[in-house]
Amino acid sequence: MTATGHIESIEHAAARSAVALYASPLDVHNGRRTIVLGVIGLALIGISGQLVRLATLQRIEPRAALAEPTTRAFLRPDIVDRNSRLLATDVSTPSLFADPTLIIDLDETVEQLGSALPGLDEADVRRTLADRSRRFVWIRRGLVPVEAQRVHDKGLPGLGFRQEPKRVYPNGSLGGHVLGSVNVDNRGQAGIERHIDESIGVEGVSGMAAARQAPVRLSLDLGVQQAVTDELAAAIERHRAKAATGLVMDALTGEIVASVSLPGVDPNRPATALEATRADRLHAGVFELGSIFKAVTIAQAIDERIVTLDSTIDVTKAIEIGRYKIRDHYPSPGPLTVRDIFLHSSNVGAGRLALSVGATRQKAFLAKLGLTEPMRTEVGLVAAPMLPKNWGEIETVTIGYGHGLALAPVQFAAAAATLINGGTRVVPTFVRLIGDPNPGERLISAEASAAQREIWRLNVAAPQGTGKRADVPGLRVGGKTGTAEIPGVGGYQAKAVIASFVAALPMEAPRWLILVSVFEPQGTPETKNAITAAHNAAPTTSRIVARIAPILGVLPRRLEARAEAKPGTEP
Amino acid sequence: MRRSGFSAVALAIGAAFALYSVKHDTRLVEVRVQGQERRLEKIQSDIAVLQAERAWLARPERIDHMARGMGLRPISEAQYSGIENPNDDGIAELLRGADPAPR
Repeated sequence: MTATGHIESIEHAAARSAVALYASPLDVHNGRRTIVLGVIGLALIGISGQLVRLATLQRIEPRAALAEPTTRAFLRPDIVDRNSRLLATDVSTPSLFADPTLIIDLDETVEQLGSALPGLDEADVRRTLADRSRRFVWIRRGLVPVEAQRVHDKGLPGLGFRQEPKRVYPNGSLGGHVLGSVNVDNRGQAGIERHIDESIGVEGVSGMAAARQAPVRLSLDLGVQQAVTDELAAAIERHRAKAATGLVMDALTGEIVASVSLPGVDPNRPATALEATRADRLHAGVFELGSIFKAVTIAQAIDERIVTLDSTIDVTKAIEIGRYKIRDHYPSPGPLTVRDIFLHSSNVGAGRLALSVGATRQKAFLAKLGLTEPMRTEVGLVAAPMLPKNWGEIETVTIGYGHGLALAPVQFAAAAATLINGGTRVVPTFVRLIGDPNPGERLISAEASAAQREIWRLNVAAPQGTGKRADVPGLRVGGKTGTAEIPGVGGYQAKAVIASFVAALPMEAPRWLILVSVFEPQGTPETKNAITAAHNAAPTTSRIVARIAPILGVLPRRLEARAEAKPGTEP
Repeated sequence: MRRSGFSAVALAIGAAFALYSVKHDTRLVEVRVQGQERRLEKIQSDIAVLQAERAWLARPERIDHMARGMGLRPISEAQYSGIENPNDDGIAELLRGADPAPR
């Protein structure tokens, strides 16, 4: 190596050393930058991850605090009549609750609440609010807006409102027995309301929910219900009666379009239903219905081909069984045809027909008509029939003319519908039926049913018929009266009766069955002091028919009415 | 390699912000929907009250009382007339007593 080459070599070495000297700090700088960037990157990744987590995470629902109410109310479907007119609905009402631990001045709070809410039991509220172990207590539920505003204006600490569904019945007591009632939680307690809970179901909600169930459509017709209610109220006043009932039923389908028992109950005030005098006598009471039961006796005798309408029966002598003697109030001087037994409402005639049938077959026939077993409708269990303990000869006779067997009127109405609708079973229902229901099982022959239609009509159209006061020109009403003495201490009370009229129209093809009962009517100058059904239940039925026929679409047959006005034209 | 790494990180961050933005918008929409649902509930509640009030005002007992106060009565048999026979009774009488139709 030359000297020059050596020098170059040294310069190169120095240069490399210099590069090495300067490269070392740069490397350190790069390393720190990497670390910083890495940290920032990790932080950003962390932030990004958190953003992704937040973005994808389900929203956390706020949990109910201890002080929030946990009681649930129940949202119910509306109830409407057969023409969609509203019978019951839920409206949102404020309910007042308190958290006793937040009450600052108990005395002041109770006093202020008492002044804002008339009728508040202040002692009870004081006792409730004094219990500081509780975080939620109801003060009053279902306030009206003005009451809620009064409490709100007081600005009392520890109180709060919660919107809850409250059941309201816009028509007041109209149809009250059928609709029933609900409790403070909006759960059905009686009537159709209870049926809804048991069969359809109600929705538990916290507050008012937006979703609503489809309305429950009843078979009731509000217009018919009102007309029957109005006429029965007038009958109670006119005849100074204690109570009255009225039922209008589709004799083919069993749909009940009106069911009235007065005195009525207002479902907006459920406490009224607890009064014994306001019980639903159509469903919850059993009564001996008297001579309207003769229709059943005659139907069986004809159905079993024991007699025809033209058969004659000796009714001149009383029926004597043991120590009992059955006689007519106005004994006939001679034998009567079966048709005349019905028209004259002869107890002896009906008793002899019942005897010709016999106790065993009578019991079987009544069982076939559904008159011996408890019945159930959507309104609830119908009061069970009261049957005689020993069904002997005397019981057979008395049942033949409507005593000795106590029934709920709605149960008798179903059997009566069978008698005149051609002979098929009818199951009473308060729910609107869709489409044409299949005819029920045949219970009596068409001939026996035709005979019933004939004598029902005759009993109203003929001058000697006991039901002539039920007639409405042109509407071809038919029916039967029944006056049953009410059992009392020591026997039946002659002056306390249940006067009933079972009717149907139009009689040539009965579609509607009407059962009217007046409980303990008094004699008036207008009735010449008579208390029999011919003087009260029958004319009441006439007034009802005249009002409801247009609503039910039953048109008068004017030409036939004119023909009927001529003597001798009636069959 | 380094560039793609930075790009991936930037993309991830951008996507996260975009996702968060969408989520934020969704929450706003949810709040609006809840508001609408509350309004709907209120309107349905108001409708229920109005329906109940209408039923209360139109209850047959009240209408019956008002109608009788105006001298109206339930329809009677004499007021029926068949459409197949308009000259019969009721309609003809009504037409005779009616004011002439406005021209």
